[in-house]
Amino acid sequence: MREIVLTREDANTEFALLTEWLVEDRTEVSAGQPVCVVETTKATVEVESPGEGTIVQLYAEDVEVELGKTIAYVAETADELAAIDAKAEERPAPKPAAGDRKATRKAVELAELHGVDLSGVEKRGFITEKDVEELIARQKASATPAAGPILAGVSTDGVSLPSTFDLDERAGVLDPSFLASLDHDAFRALSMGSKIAALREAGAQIGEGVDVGEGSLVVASRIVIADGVRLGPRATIVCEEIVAIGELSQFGADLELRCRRAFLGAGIWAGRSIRFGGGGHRDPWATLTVGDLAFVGDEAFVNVCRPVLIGREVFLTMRSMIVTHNIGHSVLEGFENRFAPVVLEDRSQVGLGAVLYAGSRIGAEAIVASNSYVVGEIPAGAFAIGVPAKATGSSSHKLSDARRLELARRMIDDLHELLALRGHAVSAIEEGDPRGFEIDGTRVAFTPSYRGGVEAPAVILALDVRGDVTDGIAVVDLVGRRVHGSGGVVLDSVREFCRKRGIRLEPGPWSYSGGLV
Amino acid sequence: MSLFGVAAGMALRGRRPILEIMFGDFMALGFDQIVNGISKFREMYDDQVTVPLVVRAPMGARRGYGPTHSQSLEKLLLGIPNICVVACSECHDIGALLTAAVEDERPVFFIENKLLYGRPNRRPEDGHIGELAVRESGDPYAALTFSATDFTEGSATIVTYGGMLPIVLDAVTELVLEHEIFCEVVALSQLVPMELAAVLESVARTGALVTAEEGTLTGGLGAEIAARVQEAAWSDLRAPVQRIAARDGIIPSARPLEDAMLPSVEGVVDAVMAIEGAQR
Amino acid sequence: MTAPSTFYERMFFIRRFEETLLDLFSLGKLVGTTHTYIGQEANAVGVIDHLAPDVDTIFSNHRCHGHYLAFTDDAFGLLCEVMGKAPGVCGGKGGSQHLCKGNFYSNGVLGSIVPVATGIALAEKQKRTGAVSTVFLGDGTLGEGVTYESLNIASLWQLPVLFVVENNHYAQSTPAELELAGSIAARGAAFGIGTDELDTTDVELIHDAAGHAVRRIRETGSPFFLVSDEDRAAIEARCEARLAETVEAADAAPAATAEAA
Repeated sequence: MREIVLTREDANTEFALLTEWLVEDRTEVSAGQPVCVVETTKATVEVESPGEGTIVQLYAEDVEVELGKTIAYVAETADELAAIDAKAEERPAPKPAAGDRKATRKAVELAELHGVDLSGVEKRGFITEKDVEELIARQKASATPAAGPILAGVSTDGVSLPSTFDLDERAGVLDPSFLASLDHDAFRALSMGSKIAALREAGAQIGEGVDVGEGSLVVASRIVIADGVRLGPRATIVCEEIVAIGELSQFGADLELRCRRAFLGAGIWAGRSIRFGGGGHRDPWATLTVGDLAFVGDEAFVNVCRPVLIGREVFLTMRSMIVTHNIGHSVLEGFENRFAPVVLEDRSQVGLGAVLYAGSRIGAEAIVASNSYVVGEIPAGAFAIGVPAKATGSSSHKLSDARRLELARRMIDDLHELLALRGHAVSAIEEGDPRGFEIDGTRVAFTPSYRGGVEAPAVILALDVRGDVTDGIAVVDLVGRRVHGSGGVVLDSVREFCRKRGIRLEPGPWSYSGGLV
Repeated sequence: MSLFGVAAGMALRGRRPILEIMFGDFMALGFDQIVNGISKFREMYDDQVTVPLVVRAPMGARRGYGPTHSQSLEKLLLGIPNICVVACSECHDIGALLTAAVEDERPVFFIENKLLYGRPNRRPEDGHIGELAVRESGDPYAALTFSATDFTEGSATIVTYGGMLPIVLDAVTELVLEHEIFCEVVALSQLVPMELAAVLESVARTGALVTAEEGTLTGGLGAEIAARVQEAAWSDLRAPVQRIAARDGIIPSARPLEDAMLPSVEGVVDAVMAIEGAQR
Repeated sequence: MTAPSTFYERMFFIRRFEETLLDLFSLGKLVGTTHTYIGQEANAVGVIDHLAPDVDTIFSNHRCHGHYLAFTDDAFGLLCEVMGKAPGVCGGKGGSQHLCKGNFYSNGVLGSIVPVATGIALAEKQKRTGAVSTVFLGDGTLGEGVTYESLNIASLWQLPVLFVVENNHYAQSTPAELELAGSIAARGAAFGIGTDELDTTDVELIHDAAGHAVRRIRETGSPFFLVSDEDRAAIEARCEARLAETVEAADAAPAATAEAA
């Protein structure tokens, strides 16, 4: 048996293109007969058969072959042919077309987590985590039913609507006769238990552990209040069609909520003397949505005569103000008379005392500085400041892996100091990996990458979680913002410590019932 | 090597010779003729003559040719006035560069990395090469600027040329795929006289600079580029300029030893990560 | 045939020009240094008389004033150049050793002038101009390797180069016996180049030998290697009036300035 080998002719060439076979596979060839054409960067050459026999070709046409490789055998006898066939399984696979990876590691991981197909990203160039986030948001938005009429066509791009938005239409429908006969002042005077009982009796859906503060009034055609919702004293909730509040949301004293429809999410934290309402709150377009885990500061004022969409994890801080219309002289005299929705996309932040004028839209993760006045759109991820507010930079800066690691490591020191100042007995910080200390017999420590092998009981902070989380261990994935495993008061305290640093963890919603910090 | 002088004599008399010296290392044999003749004639004769010659000098390592046949000596030409040094890369229009060199009235040293001979010429199509957006300056010796984000943002600018370009592009791809760090790359073709408009434009967007060359570190092109960029764009820079180059030593023949001496994909990635880590 | 009296006048003018340079040097009126050709004048005059300034080329060396004056007769341009004046032939940029006018070139670093002259011959051969490329080298230049590469190329490619070795027995200040081995003429012969060796400062004998060499180059297109042995014989003086006039004019000329350049 003879081999046909592609020999290397010059120092600069590693591969050659096998452009064409001049003979059929498994046909007879003679010595010196040209059998194929090979192209290198320097020349095109014909390769001759080294002897007489049956040719067995190992590569297809138009394939790049590494020089020095055997591309065919010439078998002189049937035995040799059989031997070649026996070796067939060892044949080199043709060099696969370079499968250019174009999605980043983060993008691939996020896509896997959410089960989305990367081919949905229509883009020239690399596919990044941000592209996947946008794809997920787009798919989520298009999957959200019935958003159209209620939201008067306002785009929900970048806004995660609260889970309460999607309720069954029969949920919490009240008996019209109850509403017709309701005496508001008398209702306010009822005890908490009596209020809840009366509402439930009339058809309202009210969960366990709901706390309706003293002197409060809750009136709506449909009422859906999930477990653990707390309203401070003297709340006034009057909605023409529906009020829905997700679990564990809490509102401070003197809440006023007046609009046609209010869909409030889970885990919302709202301060005192907050007012949703104002002129036009009974308009057909007066819909308010507040996303899960949003924060609303004291004395915030939100006027709802057109849809106001507040996304997930939005910060609307103290005394900030949202208006959906102005008031003034006649439009026929050339004065502006504007009615328009306001949208705060997910994770955007509105500073103290800022005003968002009708038609404003704050892009995802954008920041509006305190006392700014927003007219129009602030792009996603921008930092905007001024009157009128203008984007002057980015709302966040890119963190190197090294810097992120340093910041995360420092959290252990900060937590250790806080616990010590609170008067808890904590051990000294023990260096190593994981690095941390002990409190009440539980180890609290940080490791860059959790891979298991930690002794229980422990609460481990990590940037990356790969190992199994066993009983008695809780692992807080600081980057993925998720708690794995379960823990008692120590975990709760760590969670609260993280929350105060803006790290809100899944699974949620969650509320801190007290602990070490 | 008298052929440098012979070419100079021909150029003085109206010919446009192209001198191919097989290994750029051999340029050392012609340095008197380059420094004291070829580069001098035009100006010292008060512009009465021109010396329009082209020296084609194959440079670069990674072929195991050993210490005297693997160097990148173009940096030795840096600082010789009145000559032009042009380096082609696998993404430049190499034919156009060589044509421009032949038509140039100056002496042109045309640097060709040996690895180019066995690789395809990858030109931009529809403004892209692979996943990277590419802009090409309109100069006869064009600079190519690559962006992983279609020029909207960038963590650093990596300026390079010639045979280092594919290594830098691999590093840029790795930075995107593994770390979502987006860089711009400027591939110069005109090294001397140094023309950094494309670099300054990119640094204005990215705020940081890495230089990458295959020649030895000390006194290299990176040093000159760093000096000029900090002079012209100090306020744009948020981190010290990083230089990537071969170590100051010989280039051994054995592959592992050669690799240890030369700048690598990892080296470029580390330099960008160092800048990211040093952000103020 | 140029009359011997004219040879003498040319030689004498070169001599007095350079003596004047030495005087001006003493007075601090020259820039840099100057290498004189004193004692070698017959060689320049005898050889260059056979060259046509509009066709043939000369590449000379650091000791180039004699060649320049014999080829161009441009005393004013040369003096201004040496004095750093704007009308200098190279605007004051070249100075004494770096001259260029028409088909005349000189450079101060030897050795590499030989390949350049060889390249000039190659270009002229390709252009079929019939030009002879003459290069003046000295015994010191024979210590440079590129000289021999050039002899090899000129012979191999049959290029019309006249190599004139002016053996003045000193490489700058080093006596030839300390820097040169073997025979000079044999160096040319070793490359198969027609060679002639002179041991005279007689301008007429030099003129005859150079005439033979140039004719042969023109006829065959092949190079020639002419060795001329110089000594330090004195030549008498005249032509003071012309020189005085030239010096006065050059002295009055504006200095070369960066702005003018």
